[in-house]
Amino acid sequence: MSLQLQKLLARLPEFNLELDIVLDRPMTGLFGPSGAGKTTLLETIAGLRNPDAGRIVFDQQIFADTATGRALAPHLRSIGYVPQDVALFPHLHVRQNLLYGWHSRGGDGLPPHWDETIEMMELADLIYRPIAGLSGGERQRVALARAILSSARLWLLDEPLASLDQPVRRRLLARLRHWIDRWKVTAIYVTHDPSEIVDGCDDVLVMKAGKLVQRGLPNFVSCLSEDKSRLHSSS
Amino acid sequence: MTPEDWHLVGFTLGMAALSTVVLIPPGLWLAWLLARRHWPGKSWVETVVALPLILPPVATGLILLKLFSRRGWLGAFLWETFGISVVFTWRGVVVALSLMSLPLFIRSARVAFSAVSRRHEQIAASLGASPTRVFWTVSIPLARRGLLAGVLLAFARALGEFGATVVLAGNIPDRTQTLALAIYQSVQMGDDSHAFRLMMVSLTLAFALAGASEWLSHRRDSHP
Repeated sequence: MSLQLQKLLARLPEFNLELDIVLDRPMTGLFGPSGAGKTTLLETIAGLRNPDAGRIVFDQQIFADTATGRALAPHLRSIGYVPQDVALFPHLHVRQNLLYGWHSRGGDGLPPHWDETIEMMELADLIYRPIAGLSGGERQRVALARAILSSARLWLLDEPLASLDQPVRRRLLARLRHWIDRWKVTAIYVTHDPSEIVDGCDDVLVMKAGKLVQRGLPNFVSCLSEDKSRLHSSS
Repeated sequence: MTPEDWHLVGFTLGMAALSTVVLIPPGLWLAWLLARRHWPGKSWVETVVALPLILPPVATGLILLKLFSRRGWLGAFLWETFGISVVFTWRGVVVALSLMSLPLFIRSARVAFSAVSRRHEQIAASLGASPTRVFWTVSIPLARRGLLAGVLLAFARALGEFGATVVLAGNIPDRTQTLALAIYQSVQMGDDSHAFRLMMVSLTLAFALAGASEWLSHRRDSHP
């Protein structure tokens, strides 16, 4: 499955997001300083904002094409989006949040990989808890599990493990990678942590001010720490 | 209080409740459209919706009378198609109360919908929820306290409605007479003690509703 971003343009107050790339690996890492346009890119792919120009095609399905005025509604895009702000539904308890996407896409009862996901995300003790009582790390695990359980084919993960401890982060990243391969899912993984890219991704994009400044295999990630400090210092 | 008085109170509460139920579906829809969508003619609709608040209620009643009389286009349609008459019937009471309460409900509901985080609606859509499902499972539950306050406000307004009701439905004891109309009639006939008793019932109901509405607003403030 490939995600094509063809001559994509999204105008932002401080710069334009401009990309013309094909993502054809299962897990692509997206790296860059804050305000580089990474979240804007994910939201444009998810259909939460419309591009000003260009075409987005995923697995031969046209998500958006400004030339024809076509924009597929977000709920038809088979997306599992984990936003940075997690945005859990405050009026639903944990279980209802977890099942929201699965039921929205017509699923009945529990999704097939429910038990495995609950166990890996360590959510069994939280299952009937209200959202208001969860810690930052717990909220992040619920948001990630909610996207995973929604039976989406394209995961857009915006720093999905940022609030978690290093050992938990490493373990979940390995499991995410395992699921991506097993369920033939495509994922874009935004992170500020180069080690996550080395551990999980097949392809790495480095963005700055809305442009792609580097692209390569994760083994060039050894340069990223250096690049990261350089990118931050120049932004 | 005589059995007739209790009947009057029951009739008024029933008419106010029915009119509130009738106005909720179009009110919810309009409030959501006004809060969440930009469309041509929106400001025109906003003005029309606010009209019953500004116009003298008797004038609104007169417009309704022209529309719903058997020679009016809505009245003629209802009479010829379904054999239903509105003017000087309990249906007229419901129509007048609904229309007069609608702007208050829409205002509350619109504020409630505007306060719902768009972020949650967006994330629900990204998880595969259709716009209808987002509306029922995210927008309505997150706006529920404001919507409930709007329902109470509309119900309270309906309980006290006078001008439009008297023109469209008349003041017919046991058929279209509500508390407000009965108080007016008692005052006109010089039966002050009866008017006072009915006024005390109205005051009690108004006090309870205002208290409930205040409690809801307070809850909303303390639990955003």
